[in-house]
Amino acid sequence: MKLYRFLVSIILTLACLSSLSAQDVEEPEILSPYMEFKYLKNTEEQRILEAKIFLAGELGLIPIEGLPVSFYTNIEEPELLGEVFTNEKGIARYIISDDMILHVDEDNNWWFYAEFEGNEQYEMTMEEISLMDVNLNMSLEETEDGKMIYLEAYTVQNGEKVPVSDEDIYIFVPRMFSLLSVAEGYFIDGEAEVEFPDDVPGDEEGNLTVIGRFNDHWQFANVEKRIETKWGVPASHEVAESHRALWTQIAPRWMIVTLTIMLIGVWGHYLFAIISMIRIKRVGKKSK
Amino acid sequence: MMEIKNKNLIHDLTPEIVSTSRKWYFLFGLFVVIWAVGIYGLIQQIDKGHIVTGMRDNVVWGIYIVNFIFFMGLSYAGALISGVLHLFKSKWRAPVIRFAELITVISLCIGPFFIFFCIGRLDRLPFLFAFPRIQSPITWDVIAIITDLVGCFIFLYLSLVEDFAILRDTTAISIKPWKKKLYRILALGYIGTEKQYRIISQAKNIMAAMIIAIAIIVYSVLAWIFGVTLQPGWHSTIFGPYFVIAAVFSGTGLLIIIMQLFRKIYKLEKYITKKHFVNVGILLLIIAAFYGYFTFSDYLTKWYGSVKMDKILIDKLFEDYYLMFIFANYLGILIPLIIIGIPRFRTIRNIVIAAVIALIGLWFNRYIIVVPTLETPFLPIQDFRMDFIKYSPTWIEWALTAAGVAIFGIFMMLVSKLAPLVSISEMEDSAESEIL
Amino acid sequence: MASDEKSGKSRRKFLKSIGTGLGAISLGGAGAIAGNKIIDASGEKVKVLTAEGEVVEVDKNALKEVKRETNEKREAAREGLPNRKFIMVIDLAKCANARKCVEACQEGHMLPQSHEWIKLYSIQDAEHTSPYWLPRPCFHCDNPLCVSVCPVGATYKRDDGIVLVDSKRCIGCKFCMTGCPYSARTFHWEDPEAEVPDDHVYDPELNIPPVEGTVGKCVFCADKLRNNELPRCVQACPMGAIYFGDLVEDAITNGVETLRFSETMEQKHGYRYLESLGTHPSVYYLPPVNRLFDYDSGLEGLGEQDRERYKNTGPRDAKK
Repeated sequence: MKLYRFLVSIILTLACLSSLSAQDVEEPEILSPYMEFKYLKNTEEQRILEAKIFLAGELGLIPIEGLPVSFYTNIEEPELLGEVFTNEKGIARYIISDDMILHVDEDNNWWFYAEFEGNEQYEMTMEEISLMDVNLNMSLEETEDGKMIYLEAYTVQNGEKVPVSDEDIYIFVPRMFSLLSVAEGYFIDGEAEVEFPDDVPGDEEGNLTVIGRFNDHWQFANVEKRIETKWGVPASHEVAESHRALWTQIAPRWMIVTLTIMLIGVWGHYLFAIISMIRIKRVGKKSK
Repeated sequence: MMEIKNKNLIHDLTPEIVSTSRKWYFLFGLFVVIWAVGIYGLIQQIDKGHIVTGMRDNVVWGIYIVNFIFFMGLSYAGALISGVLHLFKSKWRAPVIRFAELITVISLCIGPFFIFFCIGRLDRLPFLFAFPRIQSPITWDVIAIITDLVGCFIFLYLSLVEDFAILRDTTAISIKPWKKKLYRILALGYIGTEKQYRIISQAKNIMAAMIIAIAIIVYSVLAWIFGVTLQPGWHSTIFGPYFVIAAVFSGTGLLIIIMQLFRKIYKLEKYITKKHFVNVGILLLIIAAFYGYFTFSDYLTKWYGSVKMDKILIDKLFEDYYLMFIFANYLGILIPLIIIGIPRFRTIRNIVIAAVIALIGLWFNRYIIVVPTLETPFLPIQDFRMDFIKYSPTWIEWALTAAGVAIFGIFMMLVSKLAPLVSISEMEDSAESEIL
Repeated sequence: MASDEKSGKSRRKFLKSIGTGLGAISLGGAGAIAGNKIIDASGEKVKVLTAEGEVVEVDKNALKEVKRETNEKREAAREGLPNRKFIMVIDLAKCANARKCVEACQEGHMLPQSHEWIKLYSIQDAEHTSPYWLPRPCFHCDNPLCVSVCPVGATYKRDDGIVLVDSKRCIGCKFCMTGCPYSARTFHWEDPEAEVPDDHVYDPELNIPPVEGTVGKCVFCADKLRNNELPRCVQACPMGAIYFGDLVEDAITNGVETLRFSETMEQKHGYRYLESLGTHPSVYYLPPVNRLFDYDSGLEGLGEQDRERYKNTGPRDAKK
């Protein structure tokens, strides 16, 4: 009897444990997102860190909103720069303040690190980038040879200005969804000269923004300078209100005229018939 | 007072006005049952959506539109027989014109309902009048059909005025007092004076001309609903005249059938004789010849030129729609031509058979105009669902087709209670110049 | 319960079909109650029929608010975006029938499985030419036959080139469907049973929810364009075969690379499908030369229904 009770209690305990562990398995699956980490130095010389967190869905990337991203710098002694929450596009943006002096390592590079710690829904994800600061200047001049863009770039290494050489730089124009590359330049000894093409459409007056940019550069990441100028071809698309076609709101004139003439013609005769009927009635009454 | 010389006319031509026979009730009941089945189908369609029909994303217009064109085509009986013969002042038309005008008005009333069955959002029908677009062939169609309906109605009424006056004043048969009162109102005080006769004749002449013009316009507009699209088989320059000829063909065919029907039912053999059948039959013959010519011309040019899409369409007609094509475009034309063309075959019975074949052939003709084109679009139908690849009408669509025919019968029968089905005044007029 | 729902639904439809008119406002009304809108109560109550078939009392101003916003959206949808002329370029050398464009479009517009606003055809032009995959969205033609034949102006072309359907005005005559030579339009033959949030304002640029008895078609995701985002099919295509852009700006992008439209047309000989029909489409194709994926890779991994779909494709008159 005692053995029987002992065995039953062992079996019951095992059953309870197994059901507990079964409960563990029933927990919701934790998703693992991806992070895209970018650095941009914009035209106002602001240094911007952008971390985008998304899931790789069946039909494209699904951004995740509301996740806290912590940005760090200094590979030797990581310092927290700040924490930003991702917006509805999944992007957390941190602007490094202008007076913040960043630590450079022995290769003269800055090191940045972005991390999302993870929560109950999403796993932790992080990315790091390492880049060298470059100073870029751009000026535009319209000469006899055409519209010329003059670019200067130099890095500061050990307190000395080192001109940039053997590097590509691209000239972009902002379009509705993205940047369009219109020309390409090459730095020799810190200077590059690019001719801006004559046939790039601007707005109705020909205004556009010229962007000189190191784009996803292996060393400099993204650095750009923007200047607004009137170097575009004036382009607009207006359909006159008075445009008449088969598919516009207002019909072509000949259609309206034809239809009116026909309708008046036919219904006029109907009116005549109805008036005849009234006349018959009147004559009938009179004859009584 | 309206006096007519031949009192027999009133006796013979007004059987149903006096009393209702048992035959009438039986037939009427049958029609109502058929119509009710159709209405039940319609309610199913409104409730569950158009998915209950056979129409799908490629063949978006099925036998509802076929019936619409068919019924609108029947209305040509009035335009041709009444209108043209009236202007030509043909003597023999007298017993026939009332049928023609009635067919016209009734089928014009029924036709638009088939469009309504095809419209996805019936509750938004008033938008056709609130937000019309003049560039759309459907707007032209709405305007044209309303104009045609009003015009044919006026024409019918004008021809009924004299009969109403006769019935109002007659003592030859006993008419219920409420009907007498109705006739008094509807007769517009017509008492047959010189002046009144002149006014009404003038009005009828003008309306007859209008009817012909309007009928041609209405049917051309209907043809252009198909003709202005780019679809292979529809984008044909001949469509306007082709549809008009086909409509006259169908109207004439139906007229012959109705003539025989009522002649038998109401024993009007004295008034509707073989001569009338032969005359209308010859009209049918001429129209059949024209119709055959147009059909041949249309298909010859398509086949010879063998533009890719035209060739695919013609192949489909000869493969999937072989029987319908042969019946519609060969038998439906040749049999009437032979029967009526050869004097030996010209009996009343044969002429009616020819008319029936012509009418059925014309329905098939409409079907093979509407449906195969939609089954062969420019971008091939690549689908796994059979009902999206091939159109097959469901019971609801057939039920509503039958209901349309039933309603036609119902209206005819209701009118027979109020108005003589053969125009008494016209018979009187024609008798004065010709001894029956 | 299913039967209650069904009877409720048929009751609602029946009332709609006899045109109570409150039907359209009722959804908005129910929404205005549930949505967190602060609207000055006029104090005047109106009885409306909600989507579930219940009669509730709603403040009159709440109804007006949603209706006003809906009408604003419908008017803005007719205006379009200023100074733009949208075009799409599809690179047939990259299309491998992945069908992600179809799925993204269906998801974004709450379409039932059977409705495809962008459709993938297997085309073989002639007996000795090679078959290829053709994604066909609505071409938003510059001479749109569908717009010309609409009797009530429910479909219209805006100045920026996009052709939309206002499913609050469409009467379902399907003339536009016979007018379109590219079979680009679909019809909701039955109740699509799509649920929208209670305070949903109808916008023809997004065109949800689908309405029974009306016509629907690709809208170039005009709602996304207002936020400078690419259409759903463009974003979803894993091969980057679909490019979208603005003719005025002369730029097209597939999300990854941005090209000049005029250069692309010139270098790769872009063309429009069935140009001879004279409809002037806004969608251009780049011929399938130097293909990234061969035709057969488009047949791999297809479900049974899709395999059935493409079974008999080949030159249309190959047999003769």
